[in-house]
Amino acid sequence: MKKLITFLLLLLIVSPVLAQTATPGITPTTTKDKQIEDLKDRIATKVAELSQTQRSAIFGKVKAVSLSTATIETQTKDIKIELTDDITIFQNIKGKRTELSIEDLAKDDVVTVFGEHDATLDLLKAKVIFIQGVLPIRTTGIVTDINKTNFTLTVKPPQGADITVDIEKFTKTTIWDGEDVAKGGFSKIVVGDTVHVTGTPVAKTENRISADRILDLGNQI
Amino acid sequence: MNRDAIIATIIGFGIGLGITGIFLFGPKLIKYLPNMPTISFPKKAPLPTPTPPNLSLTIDAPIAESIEASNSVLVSGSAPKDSLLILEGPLEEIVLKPNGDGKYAGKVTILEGKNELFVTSYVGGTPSSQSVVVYYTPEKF
Repeated sequence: MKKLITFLLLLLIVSPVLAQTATPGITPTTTKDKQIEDLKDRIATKVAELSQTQRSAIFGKVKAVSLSTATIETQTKDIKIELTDDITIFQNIKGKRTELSIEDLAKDDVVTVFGEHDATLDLLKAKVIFIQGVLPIRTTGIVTDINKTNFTLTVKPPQGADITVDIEKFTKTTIWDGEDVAKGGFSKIVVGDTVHVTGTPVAKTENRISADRILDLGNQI
Repeated sequence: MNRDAIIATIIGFGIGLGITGIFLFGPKLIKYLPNMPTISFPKKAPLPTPTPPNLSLTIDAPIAESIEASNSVLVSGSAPKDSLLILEGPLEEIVLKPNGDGKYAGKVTILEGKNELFVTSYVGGTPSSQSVVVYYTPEKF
C-alpha cells in the first residue's frame, strides 16, 4: 500500500514536467530575420518621408522678391519660397524658351513655381520657376451683332455681360459643319451662331477680347 | 409537516399543474376561440422606379492641379449621350461626341506653366461646362 502511494506521488510530480512543451521563440534569432526586420523599418521610414513631401506647383504673381526669398501671391494665399542656387528660371522671350537667373525674377512677374511641398512644414521647396505671360481668356455664347466695318462681334454668354470680340489679322476661325471642323472666316459667321472665342483681354477695356481663335458651331446645336 | 407547509405544497402543485395544462392543451383551445376583428393597415402604393438621370458632364482625367509628364494630355470623362462636346486647351479646340456609354476622351496640347482646360457640352442648345487646371514643365525635378 505504501509503495503504491509513493509511486502515485512520484507520478504526479514527474508528469507535469514531461507535459511541458518547448517555449516558442519570440525574437528573431537568425541573421536573415534581423535583415528582414531592418528592411521593413527602412521601408516604413521612406514611405513616411515620401508622404510628407510631394511634387506640387503654384501659380501667382510675385509680390515681393529679395536676395534669398520671394513671396508669391496666389488666388488663396501668399506663399514664401526660398531662392536657392539650384532653382532654374525660364521664360519664353520672343517665342524662344530662355533660361534666366534668379536676379531676373522681378516684382509683378506672373509665375508658375514647381517644387516639392512639405506637408508637415507647409513649405514649397522651389525647383523650377517659369515666368508666364498673360493667360488666354475665353468666352462662349451666341453672336448677337456683327460689325463688318470695325471687324467686331458681339457675343452674349449664358451669364454675364455681352462681350465684344475684336477680329484681328492673326485671328484663326474654324467652323463646325455638323460632322467635321473646317477652316472658316469672319464673313461666314452670322447672327445667331454659337461661338467659342479664345484670346487676350484688351487693355483698359472691360468685356472686350482680342481673338486668337474662334470656333463657330453654327446655329444648329 | 405543519399546516403552512402543507398549504404551500398544495398551492405550488396547483400552479405547476396549471402551467403544464396550458402547454399541453393551450393550442387546441385557441381553435375554439371566436374570431377577433383585426386591424389592417392600408397598403402603400409602390413607388415608381425612378428613371436613371441623364449623365451629367464630368472630367475624370486629368486630375486637378496635377503636374503632367508631357505636353499632350488626355482629357476624359462622361457626358450626356446625345451631347456635342467642345474640348478647349491653350492652343486648340476639339469637337467630339461621347460614345454609347456616355464616355468621351480627347487629347489636347498644353504649354509650360499653368493650363486651364475646358469641356463644354451642348444638349438641345443648352451649354454646360467643366474645367480643370493642370501644370507642365519639361524640366525634371
